[in-house]
Amino acid sequence: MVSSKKLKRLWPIAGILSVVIISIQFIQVPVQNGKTTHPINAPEEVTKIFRKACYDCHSNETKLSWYDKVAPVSWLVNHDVEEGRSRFNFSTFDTLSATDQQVRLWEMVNMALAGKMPLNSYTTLHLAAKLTQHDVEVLKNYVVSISPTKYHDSTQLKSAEEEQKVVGDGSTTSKNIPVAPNGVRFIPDYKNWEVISTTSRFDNHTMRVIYGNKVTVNAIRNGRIKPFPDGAAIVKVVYNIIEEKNGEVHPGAFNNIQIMIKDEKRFPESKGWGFGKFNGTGLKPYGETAAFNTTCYNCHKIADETGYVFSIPLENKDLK
Amino acid sequence: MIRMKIFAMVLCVIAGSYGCANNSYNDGRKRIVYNAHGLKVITSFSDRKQQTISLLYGNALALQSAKTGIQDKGELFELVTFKQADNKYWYGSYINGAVQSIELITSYATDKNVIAFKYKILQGQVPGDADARIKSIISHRALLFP
Ligand code: HEC
Ligand code: HEC
Repeated sequence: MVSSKKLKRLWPIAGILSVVIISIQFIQVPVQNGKTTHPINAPEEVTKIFRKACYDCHSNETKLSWYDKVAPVSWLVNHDVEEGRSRFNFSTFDTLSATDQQVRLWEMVNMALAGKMPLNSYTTLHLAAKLTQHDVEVLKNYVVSISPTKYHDSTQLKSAEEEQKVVGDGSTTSKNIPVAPNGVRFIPDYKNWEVISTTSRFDNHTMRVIYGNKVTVNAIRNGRIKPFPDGAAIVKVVYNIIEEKNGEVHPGAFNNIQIMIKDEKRFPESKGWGFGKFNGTGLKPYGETAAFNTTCYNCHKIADETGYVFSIPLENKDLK
Repeated sequence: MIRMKIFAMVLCVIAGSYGCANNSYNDGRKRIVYNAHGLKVITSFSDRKQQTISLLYGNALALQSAKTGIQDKGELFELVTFKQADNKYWYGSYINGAVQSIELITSYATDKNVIAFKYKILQGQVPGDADARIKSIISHRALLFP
């Protein structure tokens, strides 16, 4: 039982609290909506889903409810909107190249499938923004429809043929070691590592052979992948593909090599992973500045359950 | 009776926690990295209709012949065909799943110094006779590994 004396003492505290709550409402500028200059160009059925589930944070048409505008909730919301818009913005989406749009859309579908988007903190208050099974199917079908297969593609066949002429003579073996802007060096020795997996992709029509160094392979075999230990290194070699109507998928020309190295001290902002990408047979380092590392990491967050690595072998229980 | 039951329950709990301690990382959660015993990758290919995904490994001589197209004795090819599985965290990617078959080819020189091949299935079943399989497997060209 609270005595009336104690209650009296609480009054000033309640007063102070209300003053604080009222005054913090003025601390920050509410979310401003910009213009919609180049909206995403997709079927109505698809944009309807983005509007209800993503637009509040990934567009200039944010429509907040009254409770989103009350501090301190509004501080969180404002931060999410700012962060969300900075990653991609449906109101200016059509300024991106066709390829960049395609990559982003597949990432959206996978963020949604992984249950990471829309943010849980948001859907608990905005129930209508939750994606239904039907919404997810519509999005999956849409991304497949914008990434059609070109069977027996003559351009791919030709470049694969050209490449075969130089495979034997070793002229494409790199002599000096290229380095990515974040300091991640190419690792020519990957060819002597073990292969952890091989993948075939129907989103961007490529295939990959993925190698792991000893530290990586031991970590996978011993189930120590959350987190992967320092010193782990993964090299993924990417090839174009030649797809046939009968289902066969043959490798085409070499496309690029991507690397992940684990070093907690060097890459604290990306859970210890340092990324590197080297394009074409010349292995030209990708990225203008070291900041490219974040863009790789942001998408790899989808695989946080497996130490930020997507293509590790399946668990035994999933082998059918 | 009740005492017996309680005793059994306690026993179960103790046994269970032991099981947990030992099995905290049980077999089902394990992941196998295919052991190619030091062989190198020659190429990889897949079949979306058959739902398979394959890795062709070889020793140094096999890799060399897959680059030049000229056969020699002492080559060893190992074709591992996996079931194609969905990549758990990426709709848009298929990954190798369970091993479906393993085929082995070795080359040798006959009395007349002609290069010939031996074929063996180490695991699983594969359609097609040995000659057809040999022809198909050694016809793969090596990928470029910069
Ligand atoms: C409440 C705000 C909010 C909503 C609603 C929301 N997002 Fe996000 N989104 C964010 C924030 C914040 C981030 C950055 C999070 C991070 O990287 O940890 C983000 C990141 C992403 C990314 C990763 C971008 C990158 O940098 O690689 C994708 C993809 C994405 N969101 C897709 C979606 C989709 C699709 C929807 C709707 C189905 C959606 N989001 C709804 C706030 C939101
Ligand atoms: C849009 C999402 C996305 C972005 C951005 C991205 N990756 Fe990945 N990455 C994936 C997916 C999906 C896989 C696994 C699927 C596959 O390759 O078949 C993967 C696999 C990899 C692997 C093999 C290990 C693994 O996780 O499976 C490496 C290495 C890698 N990426 C490096 C990079 C680098 C370097 C960058 C930046 C230049 C980058 N990634 C950007 C989605 C992304």
